[in-house]
Amino acid sequence: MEYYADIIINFGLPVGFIILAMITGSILENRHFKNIEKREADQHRISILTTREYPKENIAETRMVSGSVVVSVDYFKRFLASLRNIFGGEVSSYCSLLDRGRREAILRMKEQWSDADLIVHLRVETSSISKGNKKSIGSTEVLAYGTGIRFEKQQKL
Amino acid sequence: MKIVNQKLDEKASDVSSARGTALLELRNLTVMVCLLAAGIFFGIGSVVDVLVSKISFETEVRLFGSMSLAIEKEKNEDIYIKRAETILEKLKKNSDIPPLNYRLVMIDIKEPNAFAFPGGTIGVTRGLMNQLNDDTAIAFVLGHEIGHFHNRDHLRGFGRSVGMAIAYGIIFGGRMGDSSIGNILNLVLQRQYSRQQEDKADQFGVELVCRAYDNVETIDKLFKILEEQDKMPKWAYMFATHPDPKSRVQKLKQYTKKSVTTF
Ligand SMILES: [Zn+2]
Repeated sequence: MEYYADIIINFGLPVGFIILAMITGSILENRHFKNIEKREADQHRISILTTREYPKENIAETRMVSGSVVVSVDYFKRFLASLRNIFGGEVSSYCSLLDRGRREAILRMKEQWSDADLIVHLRVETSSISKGNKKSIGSTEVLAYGTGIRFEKQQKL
Repeated sequence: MKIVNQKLDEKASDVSSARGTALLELRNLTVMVCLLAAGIFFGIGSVVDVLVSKISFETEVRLFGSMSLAIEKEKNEDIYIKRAETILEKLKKNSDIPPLNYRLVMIDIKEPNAFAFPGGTIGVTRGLMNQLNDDTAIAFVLGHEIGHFHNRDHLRGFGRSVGMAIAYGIIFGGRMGDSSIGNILNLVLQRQYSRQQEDKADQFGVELVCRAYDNVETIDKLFKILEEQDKMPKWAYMFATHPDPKSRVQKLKQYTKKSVTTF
C-alpha cells in the first residue's frame, strides 16, 4: 500500500495538477479571448494612434485614459515554461498570456471613456510583479495609457 | 489628417500568434525532455561503467567501508540480524566472495526487500526478515546481494544515482525546486538494476547457497513467499528495483537444475 501511495504522490498528484490546470486554463483562456473579441468589436468606433500628431480642429474635450490588468500564469503554462527554460526558444505558453493582457488593458482603457472618438499617443507598458522570487506568484501587469479626444458632433473622422 | 479605423480580423489581432499552441508546445517539449533524459541516462551509465571498472574491491572498501547510512538504526541488537549474521559468516567462507567490509543493517520498512550498499553493507528490510523463517531463504537473499557486490551492480547503481542527482541539480537547479518533473525523473531513473543484473545476482546467490548448504529445496519456498507477497500489477515493475518474481522463479528453477547437476 505504501508503494501505491508513493506512486500516487510522486506521479499522480503533479500530473493530475498539470492536466487539471491544462483543462481549466485552456477553457478560461478561450473564454477570455472570445470576450476580448466581442468587446473589441463593440469598442471599434474609438480609433487609436500611437503618434503625438493628431487632428487639432473641433476638439470638444481631451482626457487622459488608462487601463491596466494583472494576469497570472497557470500551473500548466508555468510547467511548459520551465521545460522551455531547459532548452531555450520562444516561450509560447507565455506569449498568449501577455497577448491577452495587452488587449485587455487597451480595452479597459477604451472602456474608461467610451465617449471618446480618438486616443492618441498610446503607450503600453509591462511590468513583472514577482521579480526573481521563485516562491512568489508569477504574474505581470500590463498598463495602457494615452490621450483621449472627443470631437464636436459635426466633426467626422 | 485622415484616420482610417481599420478592422482587423481574428488572425491579424493575434499579435503573438501563440493562441491555442499549448498542446503543440507540450508535445514538442515532451519529445525534447525524453531525448535529453535518454541522453543523460545513457551518458551517465557509460561514464559510470568505465569508472566502476577502474575501482578495485580494496579501493571500494577504502572509499565506502566506513560509510554510515541515514536509514541505519542506532543499535543492531536485533535477533533477526544476529541470525542473519551467522548465516553471512557461513557464506563468507566461500572464496568467490569479494573481499569487502561486510555488515548487516536492518531497515525499518514493511515491504520485503534487500539492498547492497557500496563498501559491503547489506540492508535488509524488517518486512523481509519477518517473512523469512528459513535459514536457506535468508542465505539466498544475502547471496543475491553478494552477487550484486561481485558484479559491481551496487557501485553502478550508486554511481548512477549520484550522477542523476548532479545532472538534476544542473538542469533544474533552484528553479524547479521540488516541483513535478524532478520527481518523475528521479523515480524512473532510480531503478538501479537491470533484469539481466538481477538474474546474474540470483545465479550467484544460488551457487553460493548450494555450496554452503548443499540443498536448494528451500529456495522454492522463498519464491513462493515472494510470489504470494507481490500483488503489484505487472506495469508497476517498471518502477520497481527488482524484477517480476514469476519470471524470476522460472529462470532460477531452470538454472538450479543446471547448477545442481554440475556440482
Ligand atoms: Zn537484486
